[in-house]
Amino acid sequence: MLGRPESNEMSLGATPQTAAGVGARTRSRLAEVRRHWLLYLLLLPSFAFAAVFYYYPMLSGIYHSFTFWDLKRTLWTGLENYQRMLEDPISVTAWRNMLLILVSQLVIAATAPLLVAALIYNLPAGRAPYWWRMVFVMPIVVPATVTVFIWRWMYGPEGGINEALRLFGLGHLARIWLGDQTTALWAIIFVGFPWVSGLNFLLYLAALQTIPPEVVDAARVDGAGPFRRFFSVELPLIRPQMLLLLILTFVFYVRSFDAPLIMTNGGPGRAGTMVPGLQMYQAVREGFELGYGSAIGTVLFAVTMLLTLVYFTLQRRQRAGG
Amino acid sequence: MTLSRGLSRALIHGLLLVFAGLTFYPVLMLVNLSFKDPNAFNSAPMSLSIPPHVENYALAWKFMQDPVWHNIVVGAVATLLSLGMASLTAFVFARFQFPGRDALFALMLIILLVPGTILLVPMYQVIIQLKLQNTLWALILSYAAHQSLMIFVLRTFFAELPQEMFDAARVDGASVLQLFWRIALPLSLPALSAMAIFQVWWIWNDYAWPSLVANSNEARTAVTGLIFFNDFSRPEPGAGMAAAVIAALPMVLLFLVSMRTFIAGLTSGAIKE
Repeated sequence: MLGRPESNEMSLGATPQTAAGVGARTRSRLAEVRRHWLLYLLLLPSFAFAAVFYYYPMLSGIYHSFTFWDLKRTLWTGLENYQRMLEDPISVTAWRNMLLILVSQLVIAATAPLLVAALIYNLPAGRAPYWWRMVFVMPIVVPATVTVFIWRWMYGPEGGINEALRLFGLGHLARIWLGDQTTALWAIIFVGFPWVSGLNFLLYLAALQTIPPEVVDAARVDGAGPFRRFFSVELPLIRPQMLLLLILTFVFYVRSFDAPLIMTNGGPGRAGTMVPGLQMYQAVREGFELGYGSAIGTVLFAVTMLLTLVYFTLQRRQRAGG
Repeated sequence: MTLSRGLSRALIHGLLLVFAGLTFYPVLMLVNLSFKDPNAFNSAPMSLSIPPHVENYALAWKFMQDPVWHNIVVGAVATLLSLGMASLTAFVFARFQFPGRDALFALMLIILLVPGTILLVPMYQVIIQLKLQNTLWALILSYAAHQSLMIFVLRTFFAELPQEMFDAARVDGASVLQLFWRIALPLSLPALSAMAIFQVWWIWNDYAWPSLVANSNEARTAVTGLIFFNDFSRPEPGAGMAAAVIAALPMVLLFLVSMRTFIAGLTSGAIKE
């Protein structure tokens, strides 16, 4: 690839790429690097920032996951942090909670926003689809923390859910949703109900709207009703985007812990809504157990990387299959 | 036929209306509660707050003005820094051929695959070592490093610009920086502003990181300020709700003035997160 003249690329110096390409082969590689010093200099700021805030932390995190570390002392402890993660009942619960959140969020991402996108897609072209799209895109601007904050009130003793229940004469069902072991984790999953607004919806609708109309018309002529059409024509056609969304959802909820942090701090009890990400946060915030926190971070990192690899493999296979 | 078609259309609108109602219910409750009299807050949370108790906003603003201001400064400076560096890097990657280019680009793309939160612990260490904790610089510098997505998107954009324009300028003796400044940047304003808006939005939304490294009166951001105000200052409940409206308002304004760019920015940002 290097040294091959390409039409849309330039080389430094007064001579354009095509002429320089011939000379480049004869020159030594070092001289070649020296000739491009300006380009490397221009790349330096980005890489300097990346080194301080990404590359170094990445390596430091992996290294310190094998140590006891409180910023002052670093003591090599081998696999102790990882062993602790496997044996600590809190972290076992945390991983189980995360799994339940993950599965629920995947189901949610595959249904609610898709349903609303499909409804809008089935409206006749005109102003209505445009306005509905606007309506469901708008809530994106509300910062996630504000949404979580509202829902914390919703779940409170005199909050929006209990008051709505009392309004419908179902007051006996009212409870402190976030303080109850049986409901707290589900309450966290239900934040943002009916889970329509936002990027998932936007991407589904965009995917549906790029389906060539002839394909849908052909199915209509063949007498396929809207449900048949959805499952046998539209859904298969947007499968790549759906796969991408599910991977993004997975990666997001592996690491996300804002909702438990703000709503319950991992409670009720010792680990009612604890997730690994929050354990990592607390390791820094409360315990200064940075080694243990690094070990959790490293495992989360590995899980994310694994999923990304699976995604790329699936994507390649899908492309190869047609 | 037309009757059933009209019926199904009405059904779709009806269903969408239900979804919209459920989606906006909490937001409408928040706005209503932010105007509520302290005495009515728990006894009648669902009733309309009439007359509106606007004092809530005065109380909330007294606390929130600093966090909102910090967030605007952090968002503006970090976005300008990261956009400046990232666009230059993307330009070099897109338009020039030099030894090690592909390897360096791959090295930059690795970051795209690493969710930032996972580096929470070692990044905290970096901030401590630089003695930046509880300063705005902790946020500005760490957010300015958030460039890989921009580099990725802008590189594609710069690569598609027609080569003839660059060639013409080079004949006139334009330097690399002049090509970047006079040709590449002006032709890419839509992409640049979409990236800038995504960055500002992303910074405004971040909670865990600033709550860890910038949790002081001198550095708190809008959403961390909102939670701190409610959990530690124990305000009148209506004022706490008003603070949430205040924390969301700047993003609502940004959305209203730049709707198209805003949506474009978020959609391209979705590739990453």
